[in-house]
Amino acid sequence: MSLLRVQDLWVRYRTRRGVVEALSGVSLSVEEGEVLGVVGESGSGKSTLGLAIIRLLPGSAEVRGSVLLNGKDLMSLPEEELRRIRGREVSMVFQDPYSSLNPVMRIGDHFVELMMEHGAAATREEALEIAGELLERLGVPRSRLNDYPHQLSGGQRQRVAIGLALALKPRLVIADEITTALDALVERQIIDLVKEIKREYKTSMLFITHNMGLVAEVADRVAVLYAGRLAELGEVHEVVSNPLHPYTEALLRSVPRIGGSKDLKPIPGEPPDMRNPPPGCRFHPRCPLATDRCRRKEPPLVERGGRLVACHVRG
Amino acid sequence: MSRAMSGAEALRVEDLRVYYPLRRTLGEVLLRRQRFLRAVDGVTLSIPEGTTLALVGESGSGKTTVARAVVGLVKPTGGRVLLWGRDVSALSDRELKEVRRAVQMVFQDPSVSLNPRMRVGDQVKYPLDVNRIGTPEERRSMALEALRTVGLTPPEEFYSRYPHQLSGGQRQRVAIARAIVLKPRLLIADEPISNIDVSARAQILELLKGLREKMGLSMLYITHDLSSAWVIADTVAVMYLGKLVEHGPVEEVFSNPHHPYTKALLQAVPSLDRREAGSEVVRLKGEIPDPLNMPSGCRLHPRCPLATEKCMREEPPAVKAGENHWVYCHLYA
Repeated sequence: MSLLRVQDLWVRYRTRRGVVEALSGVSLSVEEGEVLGVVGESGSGKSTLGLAIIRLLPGSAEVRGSVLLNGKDLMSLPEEELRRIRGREVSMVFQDPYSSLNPVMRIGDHFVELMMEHGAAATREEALEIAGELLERLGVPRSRLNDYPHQLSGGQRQRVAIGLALALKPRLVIADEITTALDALVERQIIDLVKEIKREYKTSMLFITHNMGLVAEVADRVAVLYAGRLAELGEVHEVVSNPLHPYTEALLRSVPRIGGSKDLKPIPGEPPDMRNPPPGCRFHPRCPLATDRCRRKEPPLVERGGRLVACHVRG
Repeated sequence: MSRAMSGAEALRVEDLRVYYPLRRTLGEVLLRRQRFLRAVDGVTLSIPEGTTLALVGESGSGKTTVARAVVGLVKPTGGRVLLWGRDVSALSDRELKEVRRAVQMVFQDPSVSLNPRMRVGDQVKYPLDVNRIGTPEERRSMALEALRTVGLTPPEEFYSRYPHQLSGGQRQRVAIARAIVLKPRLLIADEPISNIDVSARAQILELLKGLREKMGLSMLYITHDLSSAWVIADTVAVMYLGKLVEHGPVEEVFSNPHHPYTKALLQAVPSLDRREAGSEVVRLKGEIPDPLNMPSGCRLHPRCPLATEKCMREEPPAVKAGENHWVYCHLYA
């Protein structure tokens, strides 16, 4: 049984300017100990996916489909039960570490509150002891427990946010663009840290990013999202070296690589307006291979050589 | 390099210093002391006509301050800025206005640099209005032409749109159109692709490269993203805490980096290709220090795994690492 199974997930947002189709029937799974990369641009639905799984979408979102974590359907759980599960079975790290930090609370108190609420520590002292040990393993000096978030550097704040996500030893961590706001060298430190966590703690992860290179480094498999739909899903090095979906292929070709060609091949056009997505395959207006069928009919997700791809031409 | 490199320099920055005075504490007032933040501390750069220099570094490196000093948004504390061989501090107001018109800038975030309440065509036309160039009809057609040049076609349709009706990539195209409408000879692009989507990044990079060919532009391209520097620049200069650490032709510096900081930056780039095992790995400790407590000697020494006692005491000299390739590091002295 997969640790996480997302089945036919649909999310729409009602906005003043119309209904946004954020996710349209996405299915995927994360296995025990696996890092699944989720790659997409803004508007692809990748962040919506993360928030939908942990049920933190705003009230304006309409959600359909099922999210099974360890066989339990998170979609039908009451809020009270969810609070127990968040942090303990599934937790989330965001791009901005302040999303999980309270600016007027000392770092240590974040851990104390979390652990005592979930019964992971009996006393304040015990919680601080566990937190100190965890932070040290994540490269933050224990003395930082006494500091407030603003006294830490950006990299340390993100390490603390990761520490909070790991504190209750959840089965699944959702990481949403966790290195995007960081400078290059700090980003590298966090990438190295994620790899280490993967090795040491064997935590399963849903690693959401716009950066294909990042996914190639940390993920086992990758799901490529385009305009709210799954374009391709497979073993990461196979996808990177031999992309099947024309979008994946175009995306890889448009990324500059040091030592590689200096002539980039940009994807033509613009991503679709998700209030009014194109019919058929959503990539067809930008696809060099598009046929009449692509313009009319949505391509089903089919298996090809151990990989899933949604394309009339390549499927 | 196919592009013509005449001897002339579009831009030369000589020993540029930009210090910001800090608010004084009471003790400092009484002792008549003034401390400074040395944002740029002795930077020398040159952009031969028709070429592109990538200035790379992390936030706090001073790369944006260099750009701001070049366009006159900050006053240098010391050193000189020469545009086409002329020292800007020695120019009359009229001459300065002329020279400044030939230097235009594109900023990082088009949603900040564009006016949300103004039609994009009018924003592109605005520099022409300010400089009273041509008749109103001519200005409008020049703005339309600029929109066409940056790929916003049909330009008539885009002219009357507002920024919020455009995608991030399209907004950055508008900012570029506004920068080129005065037909500049030097374009300064400060992180032009950092805040836009992945697929639009390649479009903007290719657009800038195309404009450079078409208009014969020289370019100062500022970025923290080394892979974009690879595709656009002829030469690269790496900055750390207000100083250059290494500069040279981009192929040379990226394939044969010398400075530990350059090596660490290059290795930090997440890579699609599996890294070959056994290659020398440079990881720097910690994070960029508070620029108010500038480290002595080589500014990298507290983070550098190869630092010696000398690095703590003495500023590193410039060492020749190859043809036009220089590194500021004691390891090679």
